[in-house]
Amino acid sequence: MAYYRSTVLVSMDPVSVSKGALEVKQQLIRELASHNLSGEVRVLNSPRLGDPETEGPDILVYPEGSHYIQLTPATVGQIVMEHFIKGRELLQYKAQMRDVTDEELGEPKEKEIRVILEHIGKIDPRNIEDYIAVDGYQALAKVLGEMSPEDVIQTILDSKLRGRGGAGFPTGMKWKFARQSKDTPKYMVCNADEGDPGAFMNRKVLEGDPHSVLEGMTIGAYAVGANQGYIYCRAEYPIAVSTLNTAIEQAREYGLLGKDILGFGFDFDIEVRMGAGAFVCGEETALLASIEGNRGEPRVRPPFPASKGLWGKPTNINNVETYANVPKIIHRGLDWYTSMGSEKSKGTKTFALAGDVVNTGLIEVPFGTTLREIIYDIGGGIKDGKAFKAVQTGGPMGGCLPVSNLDLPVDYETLGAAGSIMGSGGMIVMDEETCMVDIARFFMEFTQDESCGKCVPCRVGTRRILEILERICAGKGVPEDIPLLRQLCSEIIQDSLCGLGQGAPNPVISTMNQFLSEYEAHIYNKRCPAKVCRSLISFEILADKCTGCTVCARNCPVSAIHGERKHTHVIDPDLCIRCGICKQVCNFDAVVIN
Amino acid sequence: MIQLTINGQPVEVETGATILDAVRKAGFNVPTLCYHPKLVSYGSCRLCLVEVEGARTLQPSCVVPANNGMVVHTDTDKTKSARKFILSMLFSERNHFCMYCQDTDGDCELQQAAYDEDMTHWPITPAYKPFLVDASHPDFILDNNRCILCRRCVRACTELVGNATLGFEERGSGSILIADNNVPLGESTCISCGTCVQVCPTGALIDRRSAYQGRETDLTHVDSVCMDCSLGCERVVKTRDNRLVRIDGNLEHGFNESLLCSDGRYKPVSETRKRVTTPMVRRNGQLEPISWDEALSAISAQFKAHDSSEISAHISPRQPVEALSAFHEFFADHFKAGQVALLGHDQTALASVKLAAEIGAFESEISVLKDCDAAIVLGVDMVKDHQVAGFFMKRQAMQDLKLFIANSTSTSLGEWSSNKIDYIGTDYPAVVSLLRGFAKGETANLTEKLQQLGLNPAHAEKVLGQLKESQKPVIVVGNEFARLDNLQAFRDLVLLAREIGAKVVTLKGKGNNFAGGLLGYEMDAQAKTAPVFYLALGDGHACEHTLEAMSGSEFKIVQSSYISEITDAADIVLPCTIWAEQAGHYLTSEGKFGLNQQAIQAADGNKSVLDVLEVLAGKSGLTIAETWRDSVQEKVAAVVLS
Repeated sequence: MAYYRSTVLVSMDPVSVSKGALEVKQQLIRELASHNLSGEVRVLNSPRLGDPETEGPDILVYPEGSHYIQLTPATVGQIVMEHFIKGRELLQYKAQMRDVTDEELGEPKEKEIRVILEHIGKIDPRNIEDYIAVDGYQALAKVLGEMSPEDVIQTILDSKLRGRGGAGFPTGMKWKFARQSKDTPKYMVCNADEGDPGAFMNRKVLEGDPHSVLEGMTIGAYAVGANQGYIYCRAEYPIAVSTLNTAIEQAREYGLLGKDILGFGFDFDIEVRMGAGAFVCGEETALLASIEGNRGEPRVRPPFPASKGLWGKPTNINNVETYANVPKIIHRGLDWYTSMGSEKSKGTKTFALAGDVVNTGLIEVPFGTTLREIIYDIGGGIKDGKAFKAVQTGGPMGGCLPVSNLDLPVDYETLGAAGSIMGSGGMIVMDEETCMVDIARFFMEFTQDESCGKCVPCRVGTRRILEILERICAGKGVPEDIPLLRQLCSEIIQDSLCGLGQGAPNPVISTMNQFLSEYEAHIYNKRCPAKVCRSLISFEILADKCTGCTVCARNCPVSAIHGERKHTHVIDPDLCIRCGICKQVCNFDAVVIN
Repeated sequence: MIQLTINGQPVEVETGATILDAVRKAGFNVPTLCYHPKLVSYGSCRLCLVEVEGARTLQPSCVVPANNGMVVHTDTDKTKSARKFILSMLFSERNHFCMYCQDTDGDCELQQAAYDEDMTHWPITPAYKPFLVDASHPDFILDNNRCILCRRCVRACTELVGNATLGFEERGSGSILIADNNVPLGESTCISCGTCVQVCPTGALIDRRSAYQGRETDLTHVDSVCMDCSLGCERVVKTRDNRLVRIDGNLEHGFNESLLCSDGRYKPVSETRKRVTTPMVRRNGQLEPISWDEALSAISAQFKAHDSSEISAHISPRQPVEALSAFHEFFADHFKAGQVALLGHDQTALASVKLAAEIGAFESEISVLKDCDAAIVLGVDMVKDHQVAGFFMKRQAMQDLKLFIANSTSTSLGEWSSNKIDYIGTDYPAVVSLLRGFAKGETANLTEKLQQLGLNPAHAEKVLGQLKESQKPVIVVGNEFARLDNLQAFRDLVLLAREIGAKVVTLKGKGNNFAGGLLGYEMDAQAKTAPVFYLALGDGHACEHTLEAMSGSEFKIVQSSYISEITDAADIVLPCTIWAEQAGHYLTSEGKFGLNQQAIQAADGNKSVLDVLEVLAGKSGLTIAETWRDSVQEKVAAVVLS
């Protein structure tokens, strides 16, 4: 096959043609021929590339992705001279990018490197040309034009890209297995279920830079040998679904999706499928079951999806962020990519920083950045000058890391060794006023609710653990609860069918290991040191601070506070429900928690 | 073949076998609950976990395929603690107070699993929300409090029966077994096949009529074959103290793979008719009891007093071949009676026999329905009349079976298939001509032909095309199609089947119709009135035509197990044994002999049809040969491919 060093797409829609696109194209061909470039630069017809009314006739030059607009046969010569001979873009005819503000994503902090989040807020996700203008689809053109599927897989292997969904499995290996499967048809699936509470990294990418995912999937499909892809997006992300559908439509219009992509003879199309409110459908085999229209229950592996996935056919599943990394790796190269990150984990990772830090929100850092750097340098430290207590990473299956782990470089292996997991990137920072037993209870409540119920250990085991934790938080714990919890946790991890059950006890185990004294205080002393567990605390008004302003009494929802104006008020402990409103509204710091 | 090691012992298994298969072949065992040999393994109870060297986690042996070089340990500290853990979790999940449960002490797999682990009490106190018991179904009760959520019933209802009535609602610890969209079982799409009850390991689903009447070990098990329709499903009749307790499927033998329908499982144990207890004779308009001797002598006298052409003899297809053969020999060969007919007037067997005589044997066994990918079904409603064969088709319909159904009434056979043609009518010659034409590639008047049959031409043509591409097509015919007056179309159809490599199955209506056809019974004409009418009804039913024909006779003899308007109209009534009180063979639609063994002893005074014939023969100075097996056997080979 002949290798062109450049391909020019010329909009040939009716509007552009009426403005003279044919003449522009013919002139272009003549100019190229006069410089002996016909064998190096290919000229193709294309559906509309931009907005023909305001920009036509226009052309798009690959691999640079330069979009030249409002051309005439006269200006074509200039472009050929500048762009193809001298190798620089002719800015006066280049389409300008539009700025789209995104309130959720602030400017990057010093220690951040934004790769996945780079374009969010800078490009209009509903306008494919913006993506193209920032080098979008150049990787795809390079892959289809110059690389074999094996080349692509080798590149991804060499990049050491690891699955960003949480397991951290080398993506190159996953694609290799799918490629090796002989059965057809093959499928490419994107896991956009993002069920971790508080995590919204994937949502940002789907809403703000959807084409990066489409491009990554298409490149992966070429590598693996698939012609159909599905994006399984949780139904709670309607904007993301809509943005994706728009992006897919536009990509199809531009010949970047569908039949004969970019004229290279490769077919690949993508459909969006929606979830229905089940966290467990983020587990890959449950996700596939859901796409098939069945109950979202995981199944035992082997066989793995790479050999028997959707409808029993070889299927490759990757997370949104994993796919979004692919075009960048191909386009900017291995040296660039592997220069970021740690020894075992290359590249960057997005995190959703939440909890008691000054700066919450999405961040993106190279692997190897320490927790301290993330929490203090980027996160701005703990809010209100309180003390750091723990950081929970990885979502509901992750563990809590105390102060002693603050200098841990963030990496799949290091987090695992410390008793937590990377997960999809949730990071919840907790200050001294957090009760770790309550945290364990909170996460177990979540996983208990989301358990699919297929296997006995997870379905019943998490329920028993939750009951024990609830009892402890209610002040009804007994000494036997601790060894019983340990036993239940270890059995559930050992015996469960899927990752949900295998990970559900992690918050309990890590908090018991790191903060056993808090459990013991709840059980033996019926005390909650962090003053959180409602049954174990009481609210009191300090006589020497109370001015009798009556604000608290007026705001108490259960009328538990009595007192006359200008006299010390008193809280009736039998009526008090420990909601904390009185403490919030008091202007004199007179309300304390015991 | 795969070689692996179980507890230090090398063992070899077929490719595709699971670790559990290998464990059992090596002579060891692991406990299971959600596993069932007839169902696709589900891997949810986790009781079968084993240690596999090199594996990151414990492996569920019932699902994981055995691999070369695997080293497996079944009884390690980890696997034993896992089993205790799983069981203690199950016991804590719902109400497992064994004392009141019908399955206790022998029939409960959960209880047995606990005993096997030397458990003596519940390690964790149960905490559950009580469920209401669903007692809305006439044949069984669902008690969700006993359910261990193994889903064997759900899987059976879909995988084995193709009905998909049972399912699960909610998730996690709120999961619950439901019927349809959570309606009471008695109001659901349940077809009362009883498969779910059969596979349920605990007392969550229990048979109503036999509850608390005995453990499996208290009951006597007798192998039997059903004689309701001509499929001849194998089953096991369970009795206690000479009483019918329950009928279950036969897990070891039978094309029906332990499946039964409500007619074969529940109908026989829910009989409400009253037994005839003594021979009776009509005197002065009233039926009065007489002795057997007197009754049989009176009958014999009537035979002697009339010309044989004045005798009309009828027998029920529920009677075994032994009785049918003797009956035909007695009335047709010896007496040359005016009519010797099988009740039901079902010509299917006759048509098959006649066609086979012309073009050679052509029928295949029923099991070909189990893996067909396309089916042409003409003139039979399997869902109503041959339910178990219908199960096989419904299962395939869930796997995208291509269907062409032609019947006078609509059938729900194809409800799961999106690629089907439903012709409701009786112009079978036109249907066959259409199929032949399409197979030959004659598309000239296709659209017209399709429209004439009332079909949507575009859709029908698409499905016909798919039928043509299929790899394992079958053709099923029944009594609306396989008739003597439709032989031409029948012949064309079978010849077409031979050309395209489709297997043909003929479903022959009720009970022993096939044997009846081979023995030479009249099966295509209505009952004729004659001075002497002999009706060997047994435990069957007769239609109004028979009653009408009989009412014109002067001397009406009825051999019946139950009192009915037929016995009320008779001149002599002879008490007859029911199916369970006599042994006998049944020739199934696919040409195999099934044996119904005697399960209970009849009350004194009952005689079988065969008993009475032998006495009557004796009184007429005749003997009845016992060559039924030989004479019928070779005739079967002429019709059914071996």
